[in-house]
Amino acid sequence: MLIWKYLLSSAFVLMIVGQCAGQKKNDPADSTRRFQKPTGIRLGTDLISLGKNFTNSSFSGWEANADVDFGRYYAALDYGSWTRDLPITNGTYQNDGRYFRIGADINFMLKDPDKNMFFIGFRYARANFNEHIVYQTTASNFGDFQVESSNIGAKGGWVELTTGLRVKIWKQFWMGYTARMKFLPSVTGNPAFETYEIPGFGQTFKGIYWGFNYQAFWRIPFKGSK
Amino acid sequence: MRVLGFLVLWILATACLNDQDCLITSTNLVKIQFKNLKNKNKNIKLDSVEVSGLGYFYPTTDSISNLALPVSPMVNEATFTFYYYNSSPAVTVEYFTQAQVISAKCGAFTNYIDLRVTTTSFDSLKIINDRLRINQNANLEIFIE
Repeated sequence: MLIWKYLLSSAFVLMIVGQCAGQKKNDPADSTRRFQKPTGIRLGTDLISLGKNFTNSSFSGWEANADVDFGRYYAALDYGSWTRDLPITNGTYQNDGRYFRIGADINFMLKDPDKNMFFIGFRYARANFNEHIVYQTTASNFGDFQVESSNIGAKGGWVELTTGLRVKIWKQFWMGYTARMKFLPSVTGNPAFETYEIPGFGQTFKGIYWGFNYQAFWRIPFKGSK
Repeated sequence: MRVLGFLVLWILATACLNDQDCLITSTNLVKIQFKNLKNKNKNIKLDSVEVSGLGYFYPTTDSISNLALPVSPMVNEATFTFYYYNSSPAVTVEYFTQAQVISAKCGAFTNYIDLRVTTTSFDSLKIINDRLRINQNANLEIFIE
């Protein structure tokens, strides 16, 4: 319920910001500000997620991104895979899951002929994942023992505010970044396992978490569009 | 505007928090406080206490008003039988164990949560804290005349 309140209030704030930014006095209705017929879809991937496969031995994953323009408004969808095999001091922690984000961006570079964009947006994200842990511990009068616990079929959710750039590099090839402020993480799963990480979000004890994607896109124009 | 600025700074600051401290406050000891019917601490002379799965404990002091008794990490139930004044009242508690990772550096540990009394032959008792922690006074208060 709280998530929906945040989503609605975020959407409201974005609408106000979108309507007010760059507004001129006595300016007749500006067609660049209206919803328009989509002209193409951009499909891309996060280069940082791919790079982490080589630089972070405990992580493997990828993320695919897509957006479609409706004038200055963009519908955005992300889908990712996240696998963690993390050695901890007294055992090992594993996490394997998939996540998606859905949301919208507002472009503030209205007059750019290449449709380069500086945007602000929001996302609602969900993740399905499995966690497993094995660790050695000790308890008074019971000595040392090993604990093995799983959190199978856990579900998580969170909300993001996003900002970033998309720049046309060559023909239909685009690059850009997205900075994300992720917040309101929630998890349902095995109560005998306190979730450590939500795929796509990160460690749950951090109520607010920053994320950063550096993305490459290929744009596919729709028929009849440039 | 100042409030907005403060809010932005607060969000930035909290978003940059690093790993949690390696501070483990969880324990498998149930802290028991004996009280009289006027809700004052009551000293009693225990002959021994039997903990299910572990056997007998013999408090070394003559008279005590509180003690900590262990529960097993392997099961979710424990019975404590108190032998004193030719009587042997008992209390059976249930609890839940929960695995938690702090960080790669700090590792994982077990929480003991949702402590509750299932059966007892004491006249009156009360759960004060249902999560077993090192730094707390009592989990269970037992009232004795």
